[in-house]
Amino acid sequence: MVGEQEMAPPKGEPILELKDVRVSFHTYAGEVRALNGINLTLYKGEVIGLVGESGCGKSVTAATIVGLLPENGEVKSGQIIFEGVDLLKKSKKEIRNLRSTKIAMVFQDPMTFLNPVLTIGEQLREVFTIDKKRLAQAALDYDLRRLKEEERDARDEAQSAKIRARIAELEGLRGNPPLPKRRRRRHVLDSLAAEALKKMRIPDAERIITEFPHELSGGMRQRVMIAMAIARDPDLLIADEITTALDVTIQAQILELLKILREEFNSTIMIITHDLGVVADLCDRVAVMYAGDVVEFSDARGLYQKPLHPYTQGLLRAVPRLTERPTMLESIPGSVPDLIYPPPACRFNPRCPYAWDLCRQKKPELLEVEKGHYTACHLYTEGSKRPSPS
Amino acid sequence: MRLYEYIVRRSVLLIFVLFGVSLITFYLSRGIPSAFNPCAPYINPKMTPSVIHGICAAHGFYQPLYLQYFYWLHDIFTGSWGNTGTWASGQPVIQVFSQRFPFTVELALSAVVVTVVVGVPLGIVSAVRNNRPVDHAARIVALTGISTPVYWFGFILQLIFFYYFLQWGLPNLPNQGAVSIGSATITTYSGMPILDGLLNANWGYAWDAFLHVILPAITLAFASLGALTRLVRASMLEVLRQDYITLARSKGLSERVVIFRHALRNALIPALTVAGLLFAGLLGGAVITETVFNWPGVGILSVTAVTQGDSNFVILYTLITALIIVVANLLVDVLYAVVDPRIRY
Ligand SMILES: Nc1ncnc2c1ncn2[C@@H]1O[C@H](COP(=O)(O)OP(=O)(O)O)[C@@H](O)[C@H]1O
Ligand SMILES: [Mg+2]
Repeated sequence: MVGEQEMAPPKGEPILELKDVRVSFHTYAGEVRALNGINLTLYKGEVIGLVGESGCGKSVTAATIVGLLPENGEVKSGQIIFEGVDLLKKSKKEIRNLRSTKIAMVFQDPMTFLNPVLTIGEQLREVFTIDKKRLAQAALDYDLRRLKEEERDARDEAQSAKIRARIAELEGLRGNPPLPKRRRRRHVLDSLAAEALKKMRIPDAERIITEFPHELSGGMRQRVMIAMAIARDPDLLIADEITTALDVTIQAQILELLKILREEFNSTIMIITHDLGVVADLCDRVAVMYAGDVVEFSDARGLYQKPLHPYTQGLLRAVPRLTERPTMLESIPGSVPDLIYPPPACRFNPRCPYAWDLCRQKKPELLEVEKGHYTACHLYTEGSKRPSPS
Repeated sequence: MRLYEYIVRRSVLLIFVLFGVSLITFYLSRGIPSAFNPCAPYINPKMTPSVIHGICAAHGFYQPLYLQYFYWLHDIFTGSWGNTGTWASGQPVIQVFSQRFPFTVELALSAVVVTVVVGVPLGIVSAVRNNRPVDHAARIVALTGISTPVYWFGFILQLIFFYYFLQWGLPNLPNQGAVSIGSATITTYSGMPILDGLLNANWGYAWDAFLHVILPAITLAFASLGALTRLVRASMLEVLRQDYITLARSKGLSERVVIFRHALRNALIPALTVAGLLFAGLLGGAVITETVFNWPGVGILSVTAVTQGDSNFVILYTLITALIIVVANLLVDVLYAVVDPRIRY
């Protein structure tokens, strides 16, 4: 199948690998086994989707990657290899530095995630202050830009020669530019903040900077949050349900924005959602999660054309399609399991129409069943041993 | 400006509140026959019954109650607040009050400073180091503050810092009064000894007055400090659980920036109410502390006035206290709007 070969994503180097990551929460009711040994690989520059019903562990996966699990959470085992190093072995400070430069996150509800008593500008500017080197560089660029404008408007040759000399002087500082101070620092930060907002297609960014979160619409707030993340020019962007809390029309606008950013901004993006439509629109590859396990992982087209895992099949059947004659909306029988006492072996077994004894005894591994299409289901490895239903 | 309108509206309301307070105060001091004899300040045991009767009639005390209220209101508005009884040698109540009140203000202000300067950081540390030893220590301090009787604590402080320090030959702190007996007399500007000392450029006097306020201020602050610490701790813990704190951390900001820039301002909003009302409460309620430390404020005076049945003084004291509380409430609400941009009136 030549066509499908072409669709397969260009696989560069892996940027992030999760290897058998287990996370538990300690609660009064008992240990919540939220991640049950998940495996995922993200390649540089791809857009990956993480889907599953709410409560399946998508946000926990994201929080584990960025090192922001709540206090009662604990990584029990596994490795998170980011650009070749295991994040779980890094100190808190190193992880914090990583968050300010390389891994950025955008969250679900833009109302509760913005600080109500700080202006948009105050919350946006601070993103640029953490990385001192980058700030100094930006200040230099800012000055050069202003000087070049001045040169263009210069009155006579003498003045423009003077400005050119100043430009040359600043160019000399390229290697080690000085940190901007007070007023100049504020100007630089403001211009950076306004620029970041303009990239998000926000009109009159200068005014927005002086406003408080409650003065903006939901869609605008979401754009601001995305701006904060993108402004750091991260290698990995994690977007956790960023359209869920928005109206349908605003959702569409934000998705449109994501598509544009996807082209402009060539870093790796992880899109977390429970909306399969979003995934189909944006993602190169998709991982499907169920109750703390990754049950299927494939390129987006393969997943839609031929879902392998019984859970994914059920999930896709539950999506209403406009192209088909309206039928009854199907849903998967049963309910999401309790993660304190999860079902043994394959956690989907109580709801699976194909389950047999093996599914209750041995946890299926995530294996490549077809090219580039992984699933964790005994049907594809031990299927022949399955007793025929009678 | 909306805030300005709000202040005007609230000030108008304030007048009605004060009228209400005056009605209640008036009724309690004149309407209940056994409580006070309104005539008491004007008579003495040597007078004959007919003379007494004449004086009482001249002051209108035999008129119907509602008429008395209007006379009384008239007097209040014209500044004739009446005289004290013989216990304060019959001076005008306003004069007695305004001499003593600054001492109470100085004590209350000092106590608020102690409360805020100690209580807020203690609450923050307690929340940030939740369930660690520092937190436990801070919580014990807070609980002790809330549950320790003021007079006991005041005496213990005196015992240690005045008596034992003296015994051990250490520089001890004064335990009585607002300035040392025999201090030079200085020009009075505010009536508050520390401030007046400074205004007179008499540093020795100011220092002496400062030493005098330390123990009573700590005593007075101890209970409110406990309350404020617990409040700041609870509200800080609540704020630290908010989503915007997660976002701040996800930006890679240091924990210091997360706490001081993102959490603190949100956490202090509820503390503001308490601090404001605390100050108002301290102004009106320092009676025990003033007694224990022989502090020349209005607290002791008002107790004497009550026991002497001096209705003129009690009414003035009650009205001023009510005024302070209402104004403090207004200030707190205005400050709210300044600190929290979401609040619009
Ligand atoms: N702080 C916590 N304490 C206990 N359980 C938690 C905590 N956070 C998440 N969980 C549990 O972990 C599971 C996964 O949650 P989450 O990742 O938020 O789901 P979602 O896929 O909807 O983002 C859920 O069962 C949830 O109850
Ligand atoms: Mg979630």
